[in-house]
Amino acid sequence: MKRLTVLLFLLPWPLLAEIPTRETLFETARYLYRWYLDESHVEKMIQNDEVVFYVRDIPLELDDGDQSEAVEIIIGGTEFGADLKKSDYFIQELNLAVKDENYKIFSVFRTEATPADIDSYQVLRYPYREVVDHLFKTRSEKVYPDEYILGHLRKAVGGKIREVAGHKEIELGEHPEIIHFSSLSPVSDDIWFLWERANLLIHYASEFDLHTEEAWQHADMATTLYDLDEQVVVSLHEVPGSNAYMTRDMAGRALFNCLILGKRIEVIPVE
Amino acid sequence: MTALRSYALGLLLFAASLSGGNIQLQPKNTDAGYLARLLINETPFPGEKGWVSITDSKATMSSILWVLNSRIRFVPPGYRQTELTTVKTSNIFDVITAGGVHGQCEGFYRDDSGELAAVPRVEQRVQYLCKIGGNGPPGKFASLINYAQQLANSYLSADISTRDLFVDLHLVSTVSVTGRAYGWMTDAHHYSPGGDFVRIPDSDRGALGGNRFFTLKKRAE
Repeated sequence: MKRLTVLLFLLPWPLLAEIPTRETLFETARYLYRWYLDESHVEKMIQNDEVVFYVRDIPLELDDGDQSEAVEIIIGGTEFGADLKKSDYFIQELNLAVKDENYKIFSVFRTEATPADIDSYQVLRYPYREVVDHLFKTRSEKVYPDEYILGHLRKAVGGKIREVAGHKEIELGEHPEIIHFSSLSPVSDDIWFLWERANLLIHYASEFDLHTEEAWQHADMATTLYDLDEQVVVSLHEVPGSNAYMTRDMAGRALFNCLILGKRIEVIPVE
Repeated sequence: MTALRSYALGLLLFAASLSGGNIQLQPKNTDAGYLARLLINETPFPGEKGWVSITDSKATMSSILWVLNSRIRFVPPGYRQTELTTVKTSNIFDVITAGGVHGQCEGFYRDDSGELAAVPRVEQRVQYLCKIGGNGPPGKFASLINYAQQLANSYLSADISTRDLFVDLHLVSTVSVTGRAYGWMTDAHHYSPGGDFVRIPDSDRGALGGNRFFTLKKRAE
């Protein structure tokens, strides 16, 4: 055992609590490809024969009994990285366990093409062609919620529509409202909705399993609204320090993900 | 008069409903209650995206209060306060409400009569969290709500009762920075707040409660 410990210390890379699977790495790449990357980032990836994933644990200051884990993944060359968490804890007040089977993205960030403190990362390499083939083949892949989630989504979105209609002076009638929602990702619990008539984006994000009743009891507190008429700027430099805006680039991606890769449903916002 | 009385009665009931049992949260129409609601609004509770732990969420509340305070009291050399807050003020509520409903703090604004206001979903979430925290023995929800109120009370009656986590930050990667945080962003897709803001890395505790905190590039004095 002592010999094994010494050997582990001599390893040229830091140990991870759990090495992300190929699927997690590739799906993280696909999530970034879908929501963040553009031509210039892919061109930088092309310059190498392989795609390098830099991975390290994120030390979390957890509560007693919380077994969650978090990991940082940077895709070399793209100048983008993501923080992912696999939740595993219990909420006493709700008598509810929150437990993920897979890592889920909770933050995306810009970074150097190669991290400066490279020694703190484990380096995982895949042939460039393998990664790009995956991104290309799945670029239009659509994964929609099952009927259980869809039923709850209709109710939750209907509630939001009623709430917003008053502020935007939109008269709701008997006719259904048209909603487009984004495709799901195995590495994210986020869902985006576009309410067509109101030019409104609704972002749903939480750590609850969407197949539980509890997730939908808390749905209201997991949503953020973006009024595309008012909360879009070309650059956040126009509104430094404010957390109320999204860039036109991000709004465009959200529209593409909702309108082209998403699903159209009709919602009757009745009481 | 009847309307006024029923309004007053409503306020009393409202105040009582949030200050009973485990929860000690002042009404939303008080300065301390309003400030506490901002801290609660920007911080994840168990089950919400960005949740890490009670220590982390308390540090988030404290750091947000420090950002607001630093935008007033610690404008760095070479910067104008209006670059950080869009207004010139010594009043924390002017900083919070600067820019209106979609201003510096999304959803917090002054209404047409100049009164502090927030969009309905802020109070809906607070009510919901209070309902969870008010049941059973005091737990994490109650602890976080009460902590927000304590921070707000202390700030408004004396000063910030916590330490600024970012006060000694002078270098991020190779960029000289001012120290202290001057901005935060909540969502995953907000990876830069623009201007001369510099992302505080994880190694300097720049990620708290699903928020990213930002300091400023150092400028010549």
